[in-house]
Amino acid sequence: MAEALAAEVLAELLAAPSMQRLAIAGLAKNVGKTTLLGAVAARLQAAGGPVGFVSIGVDGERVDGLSGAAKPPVLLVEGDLAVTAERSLGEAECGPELLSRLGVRSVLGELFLVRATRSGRLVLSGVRFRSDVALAVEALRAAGAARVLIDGAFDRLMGASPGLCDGVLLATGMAVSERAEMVAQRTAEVVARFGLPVASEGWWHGAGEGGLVGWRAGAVVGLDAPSLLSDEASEALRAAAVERLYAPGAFSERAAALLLSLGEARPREVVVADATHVMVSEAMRQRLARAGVALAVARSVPLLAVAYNPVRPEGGPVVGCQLLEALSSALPEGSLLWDVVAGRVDFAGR
Amino acid sequence: MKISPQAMNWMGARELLAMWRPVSEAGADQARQWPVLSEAAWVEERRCCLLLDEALEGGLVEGSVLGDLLRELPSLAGALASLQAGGGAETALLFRIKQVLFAVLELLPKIAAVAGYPLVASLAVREAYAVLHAAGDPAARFVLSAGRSPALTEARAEEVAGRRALLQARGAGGSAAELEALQRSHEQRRQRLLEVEGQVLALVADALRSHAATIIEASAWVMELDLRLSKCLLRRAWKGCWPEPAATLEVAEGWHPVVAARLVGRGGGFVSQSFALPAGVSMLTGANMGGKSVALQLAGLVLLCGASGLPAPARSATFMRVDFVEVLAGQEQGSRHGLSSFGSEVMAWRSLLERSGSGFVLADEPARTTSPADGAALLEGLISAVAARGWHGWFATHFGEVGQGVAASAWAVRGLREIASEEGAATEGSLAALESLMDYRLVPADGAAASDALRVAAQLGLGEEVLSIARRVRASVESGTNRSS
Repeated sequence: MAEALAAEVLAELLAAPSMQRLAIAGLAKNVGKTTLLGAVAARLQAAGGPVGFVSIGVDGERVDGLSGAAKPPVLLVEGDLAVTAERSLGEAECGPELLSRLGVRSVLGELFLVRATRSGRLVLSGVRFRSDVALAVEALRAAGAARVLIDGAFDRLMGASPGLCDGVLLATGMAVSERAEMVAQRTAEVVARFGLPVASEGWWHGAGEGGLVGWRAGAVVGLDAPSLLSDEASEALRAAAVERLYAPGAFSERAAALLLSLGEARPREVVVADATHVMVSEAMRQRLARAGVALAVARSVPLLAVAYNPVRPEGGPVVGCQLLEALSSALPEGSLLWDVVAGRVDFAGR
Repeated sequence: MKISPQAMNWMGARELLAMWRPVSEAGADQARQWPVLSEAAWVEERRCCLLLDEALEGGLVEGSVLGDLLRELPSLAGALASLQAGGGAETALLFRIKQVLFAVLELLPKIAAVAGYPLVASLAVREAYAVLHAAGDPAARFVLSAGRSPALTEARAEEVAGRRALLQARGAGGSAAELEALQRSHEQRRQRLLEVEGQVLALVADALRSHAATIIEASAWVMELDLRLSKCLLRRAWKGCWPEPAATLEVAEGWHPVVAARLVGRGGGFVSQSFALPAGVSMLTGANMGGKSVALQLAGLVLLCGASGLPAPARSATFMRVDFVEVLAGQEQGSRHGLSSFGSEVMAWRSLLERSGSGFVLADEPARTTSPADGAALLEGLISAVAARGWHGWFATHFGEVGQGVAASAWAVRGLREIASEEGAATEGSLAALESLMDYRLVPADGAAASDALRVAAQLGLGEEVLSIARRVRASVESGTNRSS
């Protein structure tokens, strides 16, 4: 009963008109991100209307820059749209019609907007930077894509940024760790980032661009430091002793450690651009909380579901039930858990 | 016309070049350096620019419409090289060529309204375009449509049939062996289709190769149109002019765009300058910080713009055709090569005077790093040497009495306005206040060289401790009395 309801909720979420741009993010290599992408694409293709595809490469190349593994192609159906690099066109099996050039060059040649004239596979490559993703998504939508799927590079959440997408699907699996409990814990840490509260007031708006912004005694305080990782940050924060801090850029362990070292001068709230910029462990987040520093995001993006792959990459037993149980315990109640291959959807905590 | 990179930097030529913004890829590549034009090419370029400029002014063509078509266009350098070398069987490459051909066909009727503007043979372009556009409404997009070859039609049908069979078997719960066989068959058909597509692409590239000359011409034509259109738009943005070749360098209400942008960015304004330099060497004197260097830089830019077929930032301008422009300014940095500032300058002059051909020399306070008496004497010699070579030049100096027998003309900065008394001005002590009091306009000089140095120093806030003594010493010198008396 609950399983059927969960499947229905997932279907509704994917079909929601507000979910025009969906990002697929993965916790690690071999967690089934491509399978997830294919499953979501198949649902959207079946719902009608061309689907647009763009993939973020770790280094914009056809092979993953960290693992060296070839990027798998995606299956397009007739009418679907995609952005990919020139070098991928030679092997395209979807009879690509070249619609326009994006004016972006990559190591694999220029980026093109293409339309599939028949069903077939296409390697999505060449997109490396956030600005290129934004350009690609815009081009796909302008060309008529009803929905756009953003395939994120493994271990990177850039595509899941609120400015780029309307919703995120997260892939996890036994490739993350040998133990199901550890997989669940690592997954829960990332899921928690998407659950960070949204800062209620945009008090940092209009305080200049690209640097730290503080708030003290009811007024905005300009801080002469571009980010928490800059050399000037420590001195600026000690001198200003702000109550709230807006920190653009990555919020890393080092940045968090800096805040903890400030003593009485540390802010009680730190606002980060969005969940994709939060790169601290749950342990560090708890240390910050104990020190009285709350973490918030300027913009949030909904995490629609967590897809899990119970297959170990090196082979061995499939641990579907074990992983589902661990995830169900670790993730916030009501989170959708999707075993894509088995076609099973559950609610966490039930 | 030759001009050194150092001279270009000094006059702000690189920044000015960045203001010229063709929108196509090939045009933008071309505009990264100053055009070098033969006299015949210059004449044709000028003719085309004037025609286009007039058409834009008269509303015969719309710059934004042309710009939108040109903006999408790639550079075909790589594609043409590949095609001519026997390659080109790639969709991306063929798409780029089609984009250009399609744009030419779209642009031709629009630009045809400009009587006398050169056109490319539309029939030849249409034939080349037809090789790339098998069916449907004319468009820049490219696809290898099935209708190009019966083999392609057949291979595609086979691939579709194979895929359907596989899907049906999966849906019907076929056996593993059956599914495997169908999967294998489907993969074979898919591979066959890719092979046939490759063969058809090669045929398209072969067919296109016979149109290579047309594609080259079309590609050059759109690039030239882009370059000319962007020149015209720059002239209009500047409210500038097309400099005319003449025996004089004349600038009416000219302004240095880079300096002006800097001043405006600081919240200030700028003053236009007008001057007319006849053949030979002219002099420029005037107040410190009065804009002498900027006037020289503007002169250099007008020479460069004129020779390169670019508009100039002036209401009107003429320029001299010369083989080179040389700048002698700020050779003080030579000390690191074991030479004093003076030594560096002397070496630079020696090198310059060994050059041949016709030239224009812009010299900013030459011989200033030695004693006034020797400097003035040396300057006299340098002016004579430049004049003796039949070169032209403009020398900015505080030695107002120098060159009177040789110089073809003399100009001076008007200088600080009279309202700025030495005592009153000293209270301000700011660059902004100085700028508001300085009259940067140039006037024919009467031979006296007013540097206004003490008044300028006062305006910049130098204290009375220094200035009171300086004024006393200057008064003593002017009255011919001994300082110690």
